[in-house]
Amino acid sequence: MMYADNVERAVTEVVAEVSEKPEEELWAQRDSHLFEEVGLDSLLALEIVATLERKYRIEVPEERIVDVTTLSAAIALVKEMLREQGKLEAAL
Amino acid sequence: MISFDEITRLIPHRYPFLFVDRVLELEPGKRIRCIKNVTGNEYFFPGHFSELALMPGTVMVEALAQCGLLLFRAGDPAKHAGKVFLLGAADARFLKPVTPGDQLLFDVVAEKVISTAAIVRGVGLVEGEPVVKAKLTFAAVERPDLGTLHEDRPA
Repeated sequence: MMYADNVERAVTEVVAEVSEKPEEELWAQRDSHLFEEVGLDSLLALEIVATLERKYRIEVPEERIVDVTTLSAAIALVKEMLREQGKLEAAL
Repeated sequence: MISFDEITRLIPHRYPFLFVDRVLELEPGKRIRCIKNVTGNEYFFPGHFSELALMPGTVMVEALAQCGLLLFRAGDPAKHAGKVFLLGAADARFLKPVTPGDQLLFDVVAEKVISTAAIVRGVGLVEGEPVVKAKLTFAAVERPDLGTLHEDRPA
């Protein structure tokens, strides 16, 4: 796996733990939809977001949780939140 | 303080599946503290087990879930009005056995709450010692939507 920075690595680890999927598989398909089972997506997305919030001390607004459809989207969201708080450079 | 009678007006659970006796403290939407007095007359003790009465861990998880439900129902009922909370995931650890005569003190804290789901973390204590810890994830669904869960079930 070729992570460009620590945020990519850490978010992949979190998504792998919550979704119970191998990191390698998630990273290889990082632009594919994470959730296929209808009805389960909001709970898994919420668990992923809550874990990332605790890890990075960020707060993701409810309307942004629906953006977490792929691993790449989750990484982009965390980076955006960290950038807004001026903490992105330190996290990379 | 919220009494047992008031609890039955806030959540639909009833005997033999209501495991909260009283709400001691409530910070709406944030945290709740409840108690459950465990007696030798609990319906599950004759089966769990006939010669060694131990409170089932699954019942303690259910009790924590009911505390979580009370946290949402008692705090801001309008926020999830008309919705049914379904437990979607439970990550629990059972640390010590609970037996007749124990008083369970449940502390449940909301970790993340949105309009369609919620995550809470809870701990159950007996005499100050943790006996159960759990992270619970709820889905808040509209009651009519529940029928769709069974659409694929064979007749």
